[in-house]
Amino acid sequence: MQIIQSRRRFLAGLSAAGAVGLVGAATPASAEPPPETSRIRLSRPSASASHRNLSRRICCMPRVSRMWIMSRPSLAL
Amino acid sequence: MATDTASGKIDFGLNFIAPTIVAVDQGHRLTLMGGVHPGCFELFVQPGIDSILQLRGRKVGVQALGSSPHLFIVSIAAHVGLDPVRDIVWVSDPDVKPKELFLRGDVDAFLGFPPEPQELRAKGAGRVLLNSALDRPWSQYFCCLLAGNPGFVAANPVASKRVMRAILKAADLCVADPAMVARRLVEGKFTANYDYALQALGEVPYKRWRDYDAEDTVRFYALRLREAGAITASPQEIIAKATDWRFLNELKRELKT
Repeated sequence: MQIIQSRRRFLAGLSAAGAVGLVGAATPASAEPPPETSRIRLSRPSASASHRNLSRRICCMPRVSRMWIMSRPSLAL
Repeated sequence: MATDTASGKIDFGLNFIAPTIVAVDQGHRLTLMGGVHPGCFELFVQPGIDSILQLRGRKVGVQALGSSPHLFIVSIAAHVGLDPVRDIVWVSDPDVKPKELFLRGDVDAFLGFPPEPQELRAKGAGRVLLNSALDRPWSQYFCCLLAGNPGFVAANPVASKRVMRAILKAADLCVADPAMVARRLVEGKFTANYDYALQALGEVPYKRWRDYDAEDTVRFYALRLREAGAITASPQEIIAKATDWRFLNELKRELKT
């Protein structure tokens, strides 16, 4: 049994440990169990669409006229 | 989007961090999972405005109070010592986009995001006072983070990680093949102009998601929003309540290039 480590052997061991750390810690998709659900709901990533929705919501709010000048005493959003 | 995610109407939302922080401060339950890309906003101003401080007393066009552009400008204003409530006149028209208000000269500034900056630059309209992809400190933090519904993430960890993996791979794809992504954006009717889409994909730093610190981003914007009086919670409270970086940390190792 080798007790005294050479510098080269020590560095090789260190590299191997590092590689195991990098590869072993994360689980790629292929090694994962199947997802618990096949239904994911996301927002449509369209800025213009979200603006339109926002505008509709603003229109439905009381005290909002066509041109809405907003200067309020607080930032209570 | 943040409240839709919190209520379970949608499972995940990718959004500018500030509205998410405000939603968490208001008691909505969300799980921030990771940053996707830094800045995509540009602050356009009319000629004669040369600094953020000169926005004092000016009209700034936004979609609504609490919208991403509003909260971004609130953060910018607070950072230079302006009081965003008293010093800025916020203008919104439900039927006219802030960009149109700006082009008509009805407002002095507005925050544009793709493809608006590309379009305005092509027209030579106004000037860019701040580009969040280039100008510090804004360029040093994420703009958009992925947030999940906490119940969904807890009940579906494998699916949640897959969602995050798909979004981060999509960010990588924006770097690797922007022309293809721009084509898909136009074909999917997410935007109309291919050239502007391609230009935007080249300007938004999609490759930074591995390098930037998502928690630092939450801390930075929470501080700005607290300075502005938009939230009461401390950054650490927001981080403790609403972040879970384990999938991001795993994917950083897994998708290492």
